[in-house]
Amino acid sequence: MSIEEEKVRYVARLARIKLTDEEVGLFSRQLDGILGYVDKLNQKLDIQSRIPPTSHPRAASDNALCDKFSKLITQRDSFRADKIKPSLPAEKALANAPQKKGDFFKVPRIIEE
Amino acid sequence: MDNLYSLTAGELLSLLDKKSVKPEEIIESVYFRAQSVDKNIKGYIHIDKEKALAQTKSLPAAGKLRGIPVAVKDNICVEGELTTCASKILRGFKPPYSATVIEKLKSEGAIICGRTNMDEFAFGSSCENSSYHPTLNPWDTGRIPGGSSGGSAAVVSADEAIMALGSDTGGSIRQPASLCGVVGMKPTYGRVSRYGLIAFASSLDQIGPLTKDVRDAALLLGVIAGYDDKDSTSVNIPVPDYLGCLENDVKGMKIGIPKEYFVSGMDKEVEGSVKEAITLLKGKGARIAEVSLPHTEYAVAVYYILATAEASSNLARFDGIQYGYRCADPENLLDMYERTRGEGFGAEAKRRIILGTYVLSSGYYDAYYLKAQKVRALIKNDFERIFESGCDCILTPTSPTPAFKIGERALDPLSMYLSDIFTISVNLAGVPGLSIPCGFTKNGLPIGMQLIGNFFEEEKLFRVAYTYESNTDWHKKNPNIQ
Repeated sequence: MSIEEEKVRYVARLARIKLTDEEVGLFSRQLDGILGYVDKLNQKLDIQSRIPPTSHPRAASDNALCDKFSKLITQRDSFRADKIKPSLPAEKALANAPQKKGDFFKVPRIIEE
Repeated sequence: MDNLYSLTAGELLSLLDKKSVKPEEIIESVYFRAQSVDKNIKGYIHIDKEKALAQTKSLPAAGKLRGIPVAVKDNICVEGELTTCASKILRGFKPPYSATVIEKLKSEGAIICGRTNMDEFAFGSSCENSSYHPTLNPWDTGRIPGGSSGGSAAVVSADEAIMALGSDTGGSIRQPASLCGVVGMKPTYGRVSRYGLIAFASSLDQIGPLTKDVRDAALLLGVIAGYDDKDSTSVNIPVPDYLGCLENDVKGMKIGIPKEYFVSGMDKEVEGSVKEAITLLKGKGARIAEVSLPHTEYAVAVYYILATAEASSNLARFDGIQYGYRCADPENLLDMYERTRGEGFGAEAKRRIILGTYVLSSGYYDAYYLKAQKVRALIKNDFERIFESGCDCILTPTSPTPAFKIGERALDPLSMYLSDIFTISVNLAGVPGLSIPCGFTKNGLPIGMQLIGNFFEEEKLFRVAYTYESNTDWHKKNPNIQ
């Protein structure tokens, strides 16, 4: 699979990044090389559909060997008591804002006139 | 007595205990050193002696790191102090809170002595992708220090800090540790809280120590490890006494040598040093067994799909609204997003966000992202099979080559990605890995070996590393910085 310049422009738009024409050309060539390399997953490896996708190392697994680690770590770690705690005060949250007005972040007009 | 800056944390703590040195004297010594050599190394981005000295005024009486200067990678938040991920898009950012690891360091009396350079957002293996300047290798300033925690590795190697924190997503602690001749560890996924670490790839990132010897690594990990209710991926199991497990004894321990990591065409000097280390450990009574990690050849491909996909999502937050850089005079909201990100991110960050967005986009998701997640299961399985069969740890080279020259791989992203070939699988599996110096090339460049352990068995890695270090003196050699 290759990645032509039109596709780079399309994906850059999805990612909300403005690229120069030089960058589009460069990335198109470089991403072509990288995608050619990662394509070995599609060409050389026959993946059985029953293999569970692993989203992170703590994800459960249907393999008995993998399961040891998953069992070690129970779900309870992921939850804490639903108690109200102090949150970041507005002035601190706004301290790094490029532009602000009162207690708000200031942004360009969102709704067209 | 040696210069204070050249000592380890362990040595300094015993001097502090005997009251033969004051914390202020250690700070003065380390800053004197940094001032003398950092112009040639450029490991630091932000450094402030007065702030460090101020921290010595209120040290906890019995802190485990009382008075020890610790350098911190620029992607770990310190409240009110510049934290920029070495990126233009975060220029001027002062976090409103500190990372959990910083709170832990401070509560044990460590002094945050400066912020170290890195590849922008930890995207890189050479420190050349910093928006400030490249960092240079203390052993040869024509070469890279490794990355992305290259600044942390370089300042520890050059005695500009006593110890340092880095982060490791695909080798970013271990590879620079190896290339700079220091000890570096990526703990088990979940061992250390990432609260306040600016995220790169959340299923892979871990914070860990870079130190002058194994004892210091055990000491620093003991301080930063542990469950944190602010990080739901941190794991609620007790932190062992890592210092207590430092035995000079590997009798009966089984060490696996994966055949896929010793292939024809590998650097002869790296291969030679690592094989000598295996012989040494065998002589100390370790049982050596050949093992296989059959899916090794797919690890780099899997990593660069999953890590870029996660990065493209994590970096969506840099939009010019809440913090950091915003482009001048935007025409509308979309224009502001696109130009802020186009102007604020460096080339490698843009490349990775675009690759990550592409592999997640409609029509390609199954072929890339889903496929990579399945192969990740196979890679994780490979490691678990080996540990299930009774291996205590796995030993490999850390990096396929010693430090390469500045600019050598900068124009070819794929060749840069392949420099992480021996470290990446460890993050995909989630297991701990440690790099320790194991020799030098004939040109005087450090070589490192990697020890990989089972989940939450960092103690075994420390024990094997400590035994090896106790029987060698690679870690005592110092670069001759001009």
